[in-house]
Amino acid sequence: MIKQKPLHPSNHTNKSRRNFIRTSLGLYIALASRKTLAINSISTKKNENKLISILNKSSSINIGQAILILPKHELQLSNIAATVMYSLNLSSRSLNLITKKELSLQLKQQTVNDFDLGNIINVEGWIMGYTEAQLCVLAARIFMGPEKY
Amino acid sequence: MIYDARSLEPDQIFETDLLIIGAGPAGITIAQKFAGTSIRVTLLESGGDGYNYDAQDLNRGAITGIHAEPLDASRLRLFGGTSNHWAGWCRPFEREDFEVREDWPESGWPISLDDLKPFYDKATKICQLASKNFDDLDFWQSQPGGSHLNKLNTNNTRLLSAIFQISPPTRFGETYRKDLEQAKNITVLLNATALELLKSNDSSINSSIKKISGALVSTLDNKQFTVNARATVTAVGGVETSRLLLLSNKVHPQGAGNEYDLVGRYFMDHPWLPSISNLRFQQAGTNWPLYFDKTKVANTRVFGTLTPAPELKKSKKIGGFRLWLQPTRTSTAGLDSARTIIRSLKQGQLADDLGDHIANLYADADIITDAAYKTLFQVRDSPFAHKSIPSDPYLGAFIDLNIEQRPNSESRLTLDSPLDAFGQRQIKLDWRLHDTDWHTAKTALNTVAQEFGRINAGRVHIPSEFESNEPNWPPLITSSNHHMGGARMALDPKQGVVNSDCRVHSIENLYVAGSAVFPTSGYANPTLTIVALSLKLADHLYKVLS
Repeated sequence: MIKQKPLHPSNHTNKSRRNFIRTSLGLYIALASRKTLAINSISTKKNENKLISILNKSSSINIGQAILILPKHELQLSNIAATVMYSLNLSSRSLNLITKKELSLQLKQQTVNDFDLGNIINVEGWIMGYTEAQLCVLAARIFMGPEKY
Repeated sequence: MIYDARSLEPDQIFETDLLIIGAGPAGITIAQKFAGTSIRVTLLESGGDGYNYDAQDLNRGAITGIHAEPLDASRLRLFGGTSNHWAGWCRPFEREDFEVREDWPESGWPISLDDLKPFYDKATKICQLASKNFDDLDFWQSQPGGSHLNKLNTNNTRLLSAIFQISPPTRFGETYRKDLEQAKNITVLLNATALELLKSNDSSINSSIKKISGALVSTLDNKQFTVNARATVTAVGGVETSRLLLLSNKVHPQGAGNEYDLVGRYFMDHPWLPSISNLRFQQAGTNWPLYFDKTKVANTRVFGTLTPAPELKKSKKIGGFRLWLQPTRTSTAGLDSARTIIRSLKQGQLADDLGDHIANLYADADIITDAAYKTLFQVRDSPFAHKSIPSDPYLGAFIDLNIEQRPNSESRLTLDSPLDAFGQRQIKLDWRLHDTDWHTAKTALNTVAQEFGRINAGRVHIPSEFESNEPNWPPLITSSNHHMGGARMALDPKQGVVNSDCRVHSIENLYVAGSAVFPTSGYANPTLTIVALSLKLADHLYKVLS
């Protein structure tokens, strides 16, 4: 029969300390992550609001709703804000800094590019550029509430 | 000299050098070229000087297939022919319209644009136009009142601006009557209908090339007479040419020139989709005078249309087309609100901002009623049309579309059972389109929507029918009264009725003038090309008869 080696008092202490550190670190990381997520969420919301601020509310909701019930299309509808910002070559920081007028101009230029490249979608017969259509969907989701879409 | 054939003694035989049947733009153009020469010309007109119901009834005929305007409304039997209700749109065919296209079966003319160019130049004068250079914007801008004319900045590998000149319009009978009246070598016989072409006794039964002696002619009060001629030209339009050839079964049992069952086949028109799309401007008050106003410059109205670049036609394997705009000062907010409300109801919800939508419906009630009436009764005009105030800014434009029809042997004219006042079989048109024509129309609308978005002019609405890849023509499709084909031109007698001189392959002294000989239809209105071809034919006939 092998006799179990008694634990060294110091070992015992070390383990508790290790556990303590591990737990603390875990707790810290968890808290930090939540904070980061919260910060990211706030930032995304801010970006989305800035992007849709240049749209006419009721028109964009109508168009966005119409797009969301289209049976089939090739429009990318997840992470719209990030996709549109990428298309417009804008970071969160630069989006935050530009004026609405500048943002409108950039959207206008991107819409021209969309039409030129054939990145277009048929919404109840109206032919629209991808980027403007994505923004309308974003507006519909924000104004109508996420529970609806 | 102009005579009423009803005043002539019946059963006479008239001798002439050149018999021209039909006094429309083609017939009058040819006759006028011979004025003052030593060649005796007889020009027959089935109608009289003015509109006559009995003569007009001779134009009756059945239509099957795609909806087309009635044959007794789209053509006129009176001196000057159908030019008496011509709208006046003029433009030569494009260079590529004459060329063979690998991807476009039965394309190509046996003559080129260069062959026709000198005659086009003369035809612009005959049609009373200001310039032979249609797309020379510098010229139009340099004229008083033309400085504001500008072309849209479309991508020129997709859409081009093609400028039409609008003739006054020339009423050929009225405009050139005096010339014909004063020419001693020209006899015009009014109220004289050619019943059939007569085979010449000179024709050898075994010969593959026959001759005709002229035509049997009658007035509506049944005074018949014969006109003998060294050469005969039928200039009776894109429908009646086939009928006259098919009725002339003494020349050939199947009809004159119909040895290969080609007479009446390949009938074409320019399928017309009126106000098929709607452009809403990005900026209210947008104004494009070249495309909106038919501005009068140098005494001619000029009008811009949008047509496909050769690159687009080639890459998409489509035919030509022409889009033109009709600006509107009325809003379509009411129609959009109606759509929104219906969409929400389908989802079992009430539309957001319902109050605003109802206000739009109320404000645009006349437009909604107008649209509903047009949809319900499938008509282009309704009594509820909105009357806009001229000082209101333009809010958008309706888009009309004309397309080139791909040659189709099954689109054809045949003799029908009902008889006309002379006891002769009426004509029947079975107008058929090809799947390619649908592709042309669809591409035209998608391209203009793309281009108007690209130049940031506005957004275009395309009707739901055009989401289909299969032909799904909207009920409003109709013809443009541009009757073409039926006696197409080709070098090979097995592929066409007439040769490059417009002479019927199998008959050495019978010619066809007019749009019946067009092998392809392009997108441009046919009259200028009819006149140019007639001038070319007149030159040829002069050489032959001299």
